[in-house]
Amino acid sequence: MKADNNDKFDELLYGALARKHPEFDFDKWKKEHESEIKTFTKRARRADISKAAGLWRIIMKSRIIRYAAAAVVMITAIASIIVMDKSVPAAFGIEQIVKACNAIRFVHVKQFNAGQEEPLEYWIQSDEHGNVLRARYYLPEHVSPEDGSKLVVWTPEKAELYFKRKNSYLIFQSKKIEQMMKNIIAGAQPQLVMAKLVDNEKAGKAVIETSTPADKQKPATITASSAEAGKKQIFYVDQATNLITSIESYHLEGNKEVLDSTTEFFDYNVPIDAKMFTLKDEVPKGVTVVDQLNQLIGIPQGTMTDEQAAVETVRQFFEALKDKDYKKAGLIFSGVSEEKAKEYFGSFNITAIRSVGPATYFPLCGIHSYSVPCEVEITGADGKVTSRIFGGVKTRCGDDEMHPDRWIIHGGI
Amino acid sequence: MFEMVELVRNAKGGDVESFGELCRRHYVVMSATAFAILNDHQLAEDAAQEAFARAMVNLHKLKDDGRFAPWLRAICQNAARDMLRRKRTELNGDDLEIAADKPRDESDGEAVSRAVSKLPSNLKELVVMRYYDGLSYEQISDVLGISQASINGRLTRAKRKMAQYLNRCGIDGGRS
Repeated sequence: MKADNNDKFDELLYGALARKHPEFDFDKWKKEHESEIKTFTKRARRADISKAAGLWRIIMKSRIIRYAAAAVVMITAIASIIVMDKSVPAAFGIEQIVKACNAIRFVHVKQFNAGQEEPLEYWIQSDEHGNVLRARYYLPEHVSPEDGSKLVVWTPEKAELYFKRKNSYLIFQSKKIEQMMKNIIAGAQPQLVMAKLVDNEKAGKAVIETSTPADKQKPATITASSAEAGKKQIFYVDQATNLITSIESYHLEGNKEVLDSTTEFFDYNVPIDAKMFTLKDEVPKGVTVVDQLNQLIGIPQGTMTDEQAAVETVRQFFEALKDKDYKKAGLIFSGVSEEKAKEYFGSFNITAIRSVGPATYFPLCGIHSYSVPCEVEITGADGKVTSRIFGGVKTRCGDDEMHPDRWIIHGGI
Repeated sequence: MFEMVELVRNAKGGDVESFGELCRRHYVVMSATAFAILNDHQLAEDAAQEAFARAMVNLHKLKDDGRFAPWLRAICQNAARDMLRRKRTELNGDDLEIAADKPRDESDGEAVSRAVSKLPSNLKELVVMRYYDGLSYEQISDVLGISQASINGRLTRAKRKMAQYLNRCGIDGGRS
């Protein structure tokens, strides 16, 4: 048995280890753990009371401190005036940066993760309100070793993904991908970065300090720290343009700051060629195109259970191959073209389907995902009939993707 | 990340529902953690729930709110080990067979289970997490505190070790 190339291995591991969607019933758990909950809530109340009482005791336990308390109040008042005075230009500085960021229409961003040579890259076009109009992403292999490196272009209307290693080009749209794309870009689009910084400060999630060197050639810095989250970011800002030039992100290990990533910003407002926002002309010839946007793929679930739908998907796929209906086979096979389906499966002369199923839960491909064995009869050019067993054809339901109630074959067979 | 920290902070403040949300979010991964030790789905889920009870009464001791998941994992491992100790007082035929390391006429699935059980504990836990309910690299990374690239490397290593073991037992690609 080989460890690489191993759908079968994966399937056996799932068979040995998988637990289908274990769910936690907190209400039931609460009933069974009343004493723990009592201890928990009592302790929280005690902590609140003791915090206040402890502070009072510290202040008032000695006469000297009692006298000093009045002085503390005065000093605090004076200090707060000084702090307030200092904070005015700092807040003003951030406002200027936000304003400068809001004027950005185009930007190219590189994110260097610690320990990795190849950066993530983004090219982003925004509108006058800061909304992302179009974005292009290059995500190197280390971001998702399972997929290999990816090129992605995204607009609110569609996403195009090119998986280099798999030589596959996927066109689709879903709320999930929209959210993923927004999440990825949230750390790279200057408008979103600044909006998040301001929000975090307002919500008390981050403490912000600014520094503006007298030498205008040197960058100003904004340091945002969150002791609770154990994170720190340093924003470097060009004093001439008020635009961010780079961001360093750290996490804390004890008292030590460990660099996670450095994000660098280039080519502010240099228009990005429209060709950068479509992969259609860029993917290599012969790439497997999986178009899930412009065609209805898979088969409908209807009233079938997941297991029944999984088996039915595999059955209909092999029926289509038996009938040489490569268009239908392609639509079930993730939505590949008729030509590609013929190229893949045209050499199989399937003359009968001997058995399909049963379906085994296989969550690697999603929460509605199954592996289905199938045995077919193949008749060779010499008329010789043989049996061919496909040990585990992976099927899945689109779930929250474009076609939520439709089942497709996922990956190879 | 901020949201998870917020939930922990709220829970520390006595908000039971925030604690419940933390439990819900970590149930699968904690069950997988326990399964790596107990090799029994029902017991693993019991151990995860026991871990939540222990975590609830000790939450005030958690120093770094950002490291709730690894902290909970350690509690869960202890709960599972306690259960394993109790379980070991009742040996049965299967246990004896495993102890003797003597493959009987077993299916490929059983052989793979045995190969998983032979892995060093850190690799075993990782394999179980990955295949328990299709946990993503991101979820695993959050709990184990290692990078996604490391997870990929370790999974590959684990699979190679399992393949070697299966080959030694005379199970090859032809059989699978």
